[in-house]
Amino acid sequence: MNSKRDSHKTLGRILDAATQPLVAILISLLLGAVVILIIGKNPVAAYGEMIRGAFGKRVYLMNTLKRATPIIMGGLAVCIAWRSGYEAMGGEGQMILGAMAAALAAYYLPLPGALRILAALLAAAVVGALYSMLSGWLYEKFDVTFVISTLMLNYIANYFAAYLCNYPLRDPEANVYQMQNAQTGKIPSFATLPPIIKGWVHWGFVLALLAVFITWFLFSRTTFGYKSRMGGLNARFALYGGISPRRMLYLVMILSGLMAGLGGAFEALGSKGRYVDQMIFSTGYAWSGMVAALLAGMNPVGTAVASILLAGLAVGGSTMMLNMSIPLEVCNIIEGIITLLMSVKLVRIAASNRKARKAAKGGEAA
Amino acid sequence: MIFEMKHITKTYGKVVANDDVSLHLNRGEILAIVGENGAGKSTIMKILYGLEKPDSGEIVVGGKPCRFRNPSDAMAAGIGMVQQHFMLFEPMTVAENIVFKNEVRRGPFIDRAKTLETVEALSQRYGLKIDPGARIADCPVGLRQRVEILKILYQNAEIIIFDEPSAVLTPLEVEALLETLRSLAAAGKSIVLITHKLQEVMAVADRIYVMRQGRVVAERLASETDMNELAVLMVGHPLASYDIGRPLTGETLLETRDLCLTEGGRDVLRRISLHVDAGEIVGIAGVSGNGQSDLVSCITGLRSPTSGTVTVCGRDVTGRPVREIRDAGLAHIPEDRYIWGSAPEGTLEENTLMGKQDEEPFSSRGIVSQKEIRHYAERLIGDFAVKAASSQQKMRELSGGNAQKLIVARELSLGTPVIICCEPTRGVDIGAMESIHRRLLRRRGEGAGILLVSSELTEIMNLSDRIYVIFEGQLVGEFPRGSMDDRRLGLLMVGGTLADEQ
Repeated sequence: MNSKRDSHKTLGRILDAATQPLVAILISLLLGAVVILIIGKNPVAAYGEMIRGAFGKRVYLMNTLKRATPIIMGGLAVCIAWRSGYEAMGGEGQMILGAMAAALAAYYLPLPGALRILAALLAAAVVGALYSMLSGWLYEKFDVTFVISTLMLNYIANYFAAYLCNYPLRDPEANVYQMQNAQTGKIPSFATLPPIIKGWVHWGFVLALLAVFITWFLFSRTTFGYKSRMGGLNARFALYGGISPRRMLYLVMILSGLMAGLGGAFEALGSKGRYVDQMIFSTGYAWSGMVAALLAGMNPVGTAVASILLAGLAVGGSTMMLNMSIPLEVCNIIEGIITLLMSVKLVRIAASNRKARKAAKGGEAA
Repeated sequence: MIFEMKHITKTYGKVVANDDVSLHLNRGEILAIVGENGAGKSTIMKILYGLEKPDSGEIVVGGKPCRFRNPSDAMAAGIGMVQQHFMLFEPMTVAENIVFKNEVRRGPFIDRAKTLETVEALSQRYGLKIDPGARIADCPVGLRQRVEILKILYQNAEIIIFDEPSAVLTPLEVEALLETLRSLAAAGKSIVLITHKLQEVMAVADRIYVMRQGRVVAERLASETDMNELAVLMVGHPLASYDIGRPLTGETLLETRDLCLTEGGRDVLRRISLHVDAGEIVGIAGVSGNGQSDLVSCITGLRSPTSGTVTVCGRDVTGRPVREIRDAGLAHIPEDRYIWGSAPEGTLEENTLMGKQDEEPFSSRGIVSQKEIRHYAERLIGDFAVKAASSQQKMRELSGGNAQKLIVARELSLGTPVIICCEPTRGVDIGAMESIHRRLLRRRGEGAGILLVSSELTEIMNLSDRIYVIFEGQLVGEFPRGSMDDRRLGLLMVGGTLADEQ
C-alpha cells in the first residue's frame, strides 16, 4: 500500500518535472512547423521525414547514436557542474582539448593496441579536467564568474587546437592544396574506438552510457552526490555542515571536465579518427549537451535520452533537407527555441533564488 | 463591523489548515489572532489578503461579499499586510519606497518635491516618524517596518494585518511598534495582529481569537482574560515553568581568549574572552547586531578571527575548517534556519543528514545508505514531534516552527559536548519553544556546555546559568543566574553602565 503510494508519487514527480521540457519541445516543433509552412512545405511530411531519417533505419539510428555520444558526455558535464551550483559552460573547450589530446596520443604514442586507446582516453580525461579546473581556480582566486571564464576559455581552446592542427601537428600526409579543414594525422585503426558490431555505432556510445550510469550512481548513491547537491541547493548550509566548498569546487570541476574531455575523445577516436579543425566547435555538441541537461533537469538518465532526441533532430534534419529541400536551419531553429524556452525556466529560477536570498537577508539583518 | 469571514475552510492535500473558521473585525479595533505555528492563523490571513483561495466560505468587507484573486484586489478593498519579511528596495529612499507603484507625478515625470511633502504629511498624520530622504539600506529594522506601514497607509488601507511584526525587532523597537498600533487604531484604522507573543497581545489588543489545529477555539475580550488563560488555550495544556536547578559545572568545554575580528577597518569583535563549562548554559545577551553573529561565526569556523584563540574540548581550533571544529565536539544551531541551517529545496532526509554524511552507518567508503538515512530522519521527526507528512518532503514545506525543531533535532542528536545555540526559538510557537527549551536543559543535565545567543531577553534569563552582556563587539559584563533583572541587563545592552541607573 505504502510502496504503491510512493510509486505514485514518483510518477507524479517525473510528470511534474517533464511538463516544461515537453511543452518546450512541443512549442518549438510547432514554431518549426510554421517556418516549414512559410517556405511552402508540408510540416507533417517534413517531420515524418525527419523522424524516419533519425530512427527509421539501422544506418540512420546508428548515425543518430554516434552523434549523440559527445552530446551525452557534454550533457553529463553540465549536469555535474550545474547541480552543484556552478553554472559553468566550458564543456566545449574541454571537449576540444580532449579530442585533440586523444587524437595526438593515439597517433604519436608508441603503445600497442588497446593500451594506446586507454592512454588516449586518459590523456583526454586529464586535459579536460585540468582545463575545467582552470576556470574553477579563476573563480576561487579572482571571483571570475563561470559564464565569462568558461566562454572565453572555449575560444582559446578552439583556436589553440586550430593552431596545432594547422601548423606544428598538421597531418604530414595531407595534401597542402586540398580544400578541406586542417587535421592531425590519421590514427591507426587499432587505436580507434571500433564499432560494437560491423555497421553499428562505435564503442564510445557504450562508454557514454556507462558514464551516464556512473554519474547517476554518483548523484544518488554517494556522499559526493549528497555534498554537491547540498552545495548547489544552499552553499552556506553546506559550509555550515562542514562540507569544504573548495574541495567540492575542484572535485566537481574535475569530474565535469573529465566527462567533456572524454566526449571529445570518443568523437576523435570513434567517429573522425583524428582531430579535424572545428570538429567540435562547428557541430555545437557541447551546446546540445547543455540543452539536453536542461531538458532533463540535470538528471543523467534523462540527459542521455534528451541527447539522443537532439541528435536525432540534427541527423533526421539532414535527411529532411535532402529529401524535401528544407534547409537544415529549421532544425537549428527548433533547437534554438528549445534552449530559449528552457532557459526561461533557468532565469526564473535564478530570479526567484535572488529574490528569496534578498528576502531572507532582510530577516537576517534583524 | 468592517469585515467578516464566514465558515472558511482551506485544505492543503490532506492537511486541514482552516476548518470552518469564522471571525470578524470591528472598526478601530486591534484584533489579535494567537495560536501555535500550524494552527492556521497565517493561512486565514493569507486568504483575507488574497494570497490563497479558500475551499469554501465567504469574505464580507464593508457589507459586500468579496472574492480576492490576488493581493492587489485586497489592497483595492482597503486591506494591507505588513509581512514578516519586508519588501523594500534597499538602494532607494524611504519616500520612494512608500510611493512605489503610486508615484506622485507631474506630467510623465516623478515630482520629487511633492513626493517628499506627501510622505512627510503622511508620517505626521499618523505620528510615524521617519526621514523621507534616508536610504532604506541605512535604516534599522524597526524603521523599515515603519516604512512598510506607511506604504500601506499611503494606499489608503483601512485594515492592516501584521504578521508576527515583533519577530525581527529589538525590545525598544517593539515598544515603539506597540505605540504605533495604538495610534493607528485611535486614528480609526482596524488592526489584525498575528502573533504568539502574549505579552504584546495583552499590551495592545482589544479582542483575541485563539486558534488551534485550524479552528478558532476561543474568542476573548482582552479585559476578560490573561496571559495564562491564553497560553493554556493555545497549547491545550498548562505550561511548565522553568526551575532549571543547580548546574553541575565541570571542566571548561569551550573557551575563547582575546578574540578579535576586524572587518573593513571596523572592530567587529574586541578581545572577547569567555568560557562555557560542562553542565551549564551560558547566555549572551545583547541587542542584535552587536557582534553576536560574528562571534558565533568565529567560534564555529564560518569565519576566521583576526586574532585570539578558540578552544573546543581542549583543542585549539582557531580558524580551522568547520569540519574539524565540529569533529572536536561542537554542534551549532544557527540563527537563521533557511540561510545557514537548511537547504529549503532539499528533502527532510537530506537536511537531517548534514554533518553526519561521512559517518557510519549513513555512509561507508563514500557510498550512502539510503535506508539508514531514512530511518534516522524518521526517528528525529518522531522524537522531536516534527509535523511532517513524509521524510521525503521538502524542507520548505514545513512550517517555520517545525523546520526549526528539525534543525534543533539534528544538532542536538549529534551528542556533542559543546552546543552553540543561536535564536533557538525565533518565530516559533509556545509549544515548540517549550519543547526546544526542555531539550536544551536535558542536554545541559547530561553535561553539555551550551552557549545560548538570543535576542529574547526572557529566554536568556530563563535558561542561563551565567550571562555575558555584549555591546558593540565587547563583553561588558558577566553575571551569575538571578543576580540581574531585565531592566538592568537592558541598560547594559544599550551601552549604559550600572552607575547610570540613578
